[in-house]
Parts: sequence; structure tokens; C-alpha cells
Amino acid sequence: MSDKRSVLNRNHVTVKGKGDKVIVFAHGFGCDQSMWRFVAPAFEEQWKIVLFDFVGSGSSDKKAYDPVRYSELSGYAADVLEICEALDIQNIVYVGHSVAALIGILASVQSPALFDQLVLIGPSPRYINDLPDYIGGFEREDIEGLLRLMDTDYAQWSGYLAPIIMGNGDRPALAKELEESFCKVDPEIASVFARATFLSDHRDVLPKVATPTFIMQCTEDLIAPLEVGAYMHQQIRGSTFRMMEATGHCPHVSHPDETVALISEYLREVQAGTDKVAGA
Amino acid sequence: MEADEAFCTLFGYLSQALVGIRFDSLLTKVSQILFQLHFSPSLRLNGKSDGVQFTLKSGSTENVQIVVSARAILIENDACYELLVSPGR
Repeated sequence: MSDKRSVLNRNHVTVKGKGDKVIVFAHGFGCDQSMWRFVAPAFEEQWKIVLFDFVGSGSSDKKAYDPVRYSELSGYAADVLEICEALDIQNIVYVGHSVAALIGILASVQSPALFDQLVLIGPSPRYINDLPDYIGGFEREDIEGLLRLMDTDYAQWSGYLAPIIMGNGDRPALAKELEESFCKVDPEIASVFARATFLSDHRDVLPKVATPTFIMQCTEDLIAPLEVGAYMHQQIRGSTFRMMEATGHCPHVSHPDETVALISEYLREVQAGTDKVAGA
Repeated sequence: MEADEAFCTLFGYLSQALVGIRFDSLLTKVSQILFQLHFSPSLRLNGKSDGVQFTLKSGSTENVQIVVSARAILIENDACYELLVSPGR
């Protein structure tokens, strides 16, 4: 297997769409590329769409799991860059949800030429409060409680994977249903991903972002509250900020129409600006 | 959310106090994180989710382990989620 093929297999990369310009959709913690199934099709007529699973999620190659590489978000960012290289794509629009927003930021700072635009949905550079300077939304004991639960009780928090973990080889229909289900995670790897996500602090990277950035902030988002979105907007020079009517943390799943409309509107405005400059 | 009498009796809530609030707001913060990041999107994408454990803050402010199974249903053409909540271990 070639290196390129192993990268595409590792992250279960899916390419769709009719356009030349590329949108890469990156899912957040706790789910997989199926999170984009209500949003990505809206762009397929005019864009090339790239979807993938981070290692430990969806149909990624679990054998590729490396506890050292994936103990930091930089390991996931390296995967994003390798996917772009394997597909030979550049000038991409990167749409990242939640922790994938930060992963995209890290990748863009490392290889800015690859990225035309960053679209960040519910991003957070740090989840733990650092008062009085920063409100992340969580106390350290909240996050430690989460990590403890994920380490010790992983069959419970992921629920539908429990039958596989406990072994149910005599029930093939159940195994098939699980295989075909959306939002799959490997609970053991997910606990390492959770540690890399919720203990991270990448506030220092935000001023280094040179890629034009669009921040989409949900209403009543427990995971990435308004204070965090406002901080991101303040720290990333020239960023555009939009408050969504969508509530919760996953607007692309709960409010796909609004998500599609805002991304489309932003990309149209960017394109119009580019055309204007080119015509001047 | 709307809760039936059994839920209110079991977990010490008055049904009126629960009208209009989100189910996940009854959970501890750790459970809210997992609810928002995994359970809720999984439920929306798959139409169901079975046997997931959370910790609920009861009406008497005790933390209670619960197991939740959920289904997407239609009530008068409105998409809703029906949650079956039982005490956990």
C-alpha cells in the first residue's frame, strides 16, 4: 500500500462533489464524518467535498492509532496536512467543528499556503477557566471528572458500543446495525482524544492565524460558550463572527439549514470580494 | 421537555417545573458534555440511542445514576424525542 493510500485508508477519506475548489469538513470529538450528512450535500454541486474520520472515530483504521501522536492536537493536525498532501489539494476551505476547529487552526499555522479559508463552528482554544483572564466554561474538576469517567466506564458513556465491547458474536444483526450506525467512536481511543481536547490550551496560537477566518457561534452552547467565541474573534485578526440562532453545540446536525445558509453566504461574500479585487 | 408522573415521582420533580426546559439541563456537567458531544448528535443521526448512562441531579439535589434510551418520534407532525429513563446501578 502506498503512503498516500495508507493515509486515505487511515482516515477513511471520502471525496464527493463536482467542483474544482475544495471544502474539507472535519468532525469534532464524539462523532465521525457522518455528522456532515445534512450539510455537505448542499455544496456538492459547486465544490469538491472531502470528508474524513479522525483516528478512533467512524471507519478510521484503528490499527493506525498511536498513543503518542494522538495525545496532542498537533497529531490530528498532522493528519489533516497528510490528507491534503495525499489528495494533492490546496487552497482549501476548511470547515471544522468544535475541537476540529482548533486542529484546523494548528494545521493552517503550520502550512498556511494550503488554506484559503477557515470556517470554525463552536471553536474553543481552552475549555478550562483561567480566571480572571479567560472564561472557558469549565472548572478543572469538571474536566477531570469527565476524563475519569471516560477512562473507567467507557462502555457506559458510549452506550451503543457496549454490546460489541462485551462481545456479542452470536448476534450478527446487532453487529451489522452497529457497523452501519452513524457517530461511531472507539471509546478507548476517544478517552485519549478527550484528554488531548479538554486539557489543551492553544490560546497562544490564535494571534498567529493568517488565514481568513469565519467563526460561527451557537446560542446556549455549553461546550463553547459565547465568551469563548468572542475571545476567538478578538484574538484572530480580521476574523468574521456570526451568532447563530441554533442552540447547543452541533448546529450542523440540529440546524443544518442555518449552517448551510451561513457558510454559503460567507463563501459568496469572500468570492465577491476576490472578484472585486481581481476586476479592479 | 415534558415528563410523565413516573419520572417526576422517581426523581423528585414537579412536572410543571420541567415544562420548557431541556432534558440535559437536569444532568451534571460531565454528563451534559457527553450528552451534547455524543448522545444528542448520535440520536439525531441514527434516530435512536440505547442504554447510555448519565448522572442526573434529582429534585432533592442528589446525583442519581440513570440509563437513557431514546427514540425519534413524530407528534402531530413535529419531530420529538422520546426518552426512557430508568435508575442506573
